[in-house]
Amino acid sequence: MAGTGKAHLKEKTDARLRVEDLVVEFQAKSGQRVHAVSGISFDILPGETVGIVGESGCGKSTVARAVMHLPQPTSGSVVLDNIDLTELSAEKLRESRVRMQLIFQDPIASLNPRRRVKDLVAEGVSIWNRGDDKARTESRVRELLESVGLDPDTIWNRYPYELSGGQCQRVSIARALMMRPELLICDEILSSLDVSVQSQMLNLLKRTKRELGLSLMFISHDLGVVKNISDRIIVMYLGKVAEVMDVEALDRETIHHPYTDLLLESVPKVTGERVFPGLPGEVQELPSPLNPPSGCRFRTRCPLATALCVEEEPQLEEKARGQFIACHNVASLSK
Amino acid sequence: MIGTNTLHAVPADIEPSKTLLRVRDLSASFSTPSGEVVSVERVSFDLHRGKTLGIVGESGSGKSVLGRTIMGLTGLSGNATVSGQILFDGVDFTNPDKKLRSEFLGSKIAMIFQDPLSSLNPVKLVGTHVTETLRQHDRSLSRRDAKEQAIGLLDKVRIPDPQRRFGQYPHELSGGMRQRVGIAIALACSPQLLVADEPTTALDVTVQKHVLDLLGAICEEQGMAMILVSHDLGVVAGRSDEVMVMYAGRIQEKAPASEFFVRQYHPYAYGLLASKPMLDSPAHAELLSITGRPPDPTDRFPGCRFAPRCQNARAICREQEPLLEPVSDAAPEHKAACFFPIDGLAVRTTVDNSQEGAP
Ligand SMILES: Nc1ncnc2c1ncn2[C@@H]1O[C@H](COP(=O)(O)OP(=O)(O)O)[C@@H](O)[C@H]1O
Ligand SMILES: Nc1ncnc2c1ncn2[C@@H]1O[C@H](COP(=O)(O)OP(=O)(O)O)[C@@H](O)[C@H]1O
Ligand code: SF4
Ligand SMILES: [Mg+2]
Ligand SMILES: [Mg+2]
Repeated sequence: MAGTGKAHLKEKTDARLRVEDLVVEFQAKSGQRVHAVSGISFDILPGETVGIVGESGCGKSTVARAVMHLPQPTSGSVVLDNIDLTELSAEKLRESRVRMQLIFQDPIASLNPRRRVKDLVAEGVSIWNRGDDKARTESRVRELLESVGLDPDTIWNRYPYELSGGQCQRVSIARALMMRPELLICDEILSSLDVSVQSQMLNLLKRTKRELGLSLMFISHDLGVVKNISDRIIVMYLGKVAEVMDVEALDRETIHHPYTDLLLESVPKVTGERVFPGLPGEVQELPSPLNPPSGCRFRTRCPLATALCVEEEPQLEEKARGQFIACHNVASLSK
Repeated sequence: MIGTNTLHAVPADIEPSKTLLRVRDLSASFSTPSGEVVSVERVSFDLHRGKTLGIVGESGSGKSVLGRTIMGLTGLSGNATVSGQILFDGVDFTNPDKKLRSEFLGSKIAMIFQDPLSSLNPVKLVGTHVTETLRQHDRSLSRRDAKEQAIGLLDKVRIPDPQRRFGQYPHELSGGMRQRVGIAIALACSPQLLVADEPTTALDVTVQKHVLDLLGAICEEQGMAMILVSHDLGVVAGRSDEVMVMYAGRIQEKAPASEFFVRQYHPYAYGLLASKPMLDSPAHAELLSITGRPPDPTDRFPGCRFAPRCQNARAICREQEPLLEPVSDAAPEHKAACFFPIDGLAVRTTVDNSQEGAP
């Protein structure tokens, strides 16, 4: 069975991360298979930020964990700096995994409540790089805390419960950076923060990324946030890639995949003009990943769906420079 | 019928046909072991029939306490004090007794919350929630008629296959469906005011639009007024006639929505907008950072609550409390509580122009 295509992939040798035909399936309690991620491919260049958007349940977090091999994907390859992680021994995999760091949404739950900030940040290093001496570790922890906008002296001996959500998230970032990763994976890390803290974190991430030449995989359901931080954007739908585009294409005017359009239309315009759209139509929710639709997975909600969409899965095709869309009928769209 | 509190006569200047809710100098505070928490401080506004008031502010700014106080619920916590005045349709609803509260709740004022599951009983069918509300307010309603009306309400909130949903349990529904059930229950007795506290915060953007469209259409059709509370300016944009920005319990800015989104006067209100990453802004736009964080609500320092984080603060801001007043004669309805109001429109234009020139 075909994936959703690879036309959007860059030269193999250029990519820091290259994921091909990634499939992740779970066993549901009923014994049925959950098709969480069904053959997606993407890559991230050095210093590039790739944003992943899509409704909850479309498989974003599953992709993040599969890249980290937590757990190992059902099939497909994950290549980091030309090393295929799927072929590594457990020990080699652990070494490679250090070069990728994953930060989650819930800042407080992801930090060990019984450790102080200084130890939380130093933790990874004291486990993996025992060669680093104590003084050097300490000065690096201080440096990192400062670079994420925290005052080391105030926060040094605090426990996670003594910190606000935004402060915890900063500690998580400092902790991840301590490992000198090449790839930072952020899974909805700003979603529970207030806008003023959110903007501080976005500015911080953009700056840190630039300074360290990091590659960033940035998962969010918020299109405004993704547009602000990403260079390229992947739109996921029910375990598949619907569209890949350079960030400049993410606006309401450009022609998009019908699902991207649905997302874009749903984002409120921040203006004072009142909208009176009348009673909405009936709700169409994300179909169950236990039994995804045949052909194009979006067809049950798609205004353009035709008989072909039931039978054949569309492949990603370049519709405009840097914009790849998996849809049989998008060419018939005009705006 | 008013119980312990005095019944305030309807002031002559209220035109009963227009003003539905009049709030004056409303404060709500809680006594806690760490001190007096003032959650809402001297809030005043009017809401006209059929209109929507959007209230925005970061978490902890007092939006939910304000909503619950208007619902007459704050007084239920033993450690709470409510002062000032709430007139609902001319009736004093500031500290309602049990009888007045149960008379008003549901039939005149209803509320929906961020997490509808918290207000739904997990062992009760979806339909039972709706029929019970209906029959509470009309005891003569037969079971059969109640069921018919309930299915009509579920259909009205665009729940597909309402007959089947009627017989399901809340946990069998998605978050969006549950919120629609919450709306159906709130609408059961055709209230005149709906307080919607973060109704879409837990929902995907596609479902959020659906729910907001639904609420807007129902308000319009039934002439229902709404207080739409959100931490997200995007949610109230396009959905409100008037916008109020709360910070640390106080109203910092209040304006017709058409005015507010063009120009903000209060530095905090401007900051809320300028720090929000938006789809309709250019990629990688530089975002404003409001440094620091909101004050501890038990710390009653003098002056403006925003002064410790404000770039424009001068001595007077730390000494006197700025009042919510019109900033320009040209727009008397547009009020801000600031000694040194900015012109958000002019500031933004300057910033945009300087960014365009940047590499
Ligand atoms: N461990 C698991 N077992 C069974 N199903 C899972 C598991 N993890 C995720 N899923 C399912 O896989 C799908 C994708 O989930 P997820 O990756 O968390 O989506 P997103 O992060 O986009 O919200 C969902 O239907 C979810 O219920
Ligand atoms: N029952 C209570 N006892 C003590 N403090 C409370 C209580 N309810 C709310 N607060 C405090 O009041 C302030 C405003 O809370 P809230 O209205 O929930 O904010 P928002 O809804 O804007 O996020 C917060 O500081 C909160 O901790
Ligand atoms: S038109 Fe067909 S292929 Fe394109 S998104 Fe709709 S259902 Fe999928
Ligand atoms: Mg997720
Ligand atoms: Mg609240």
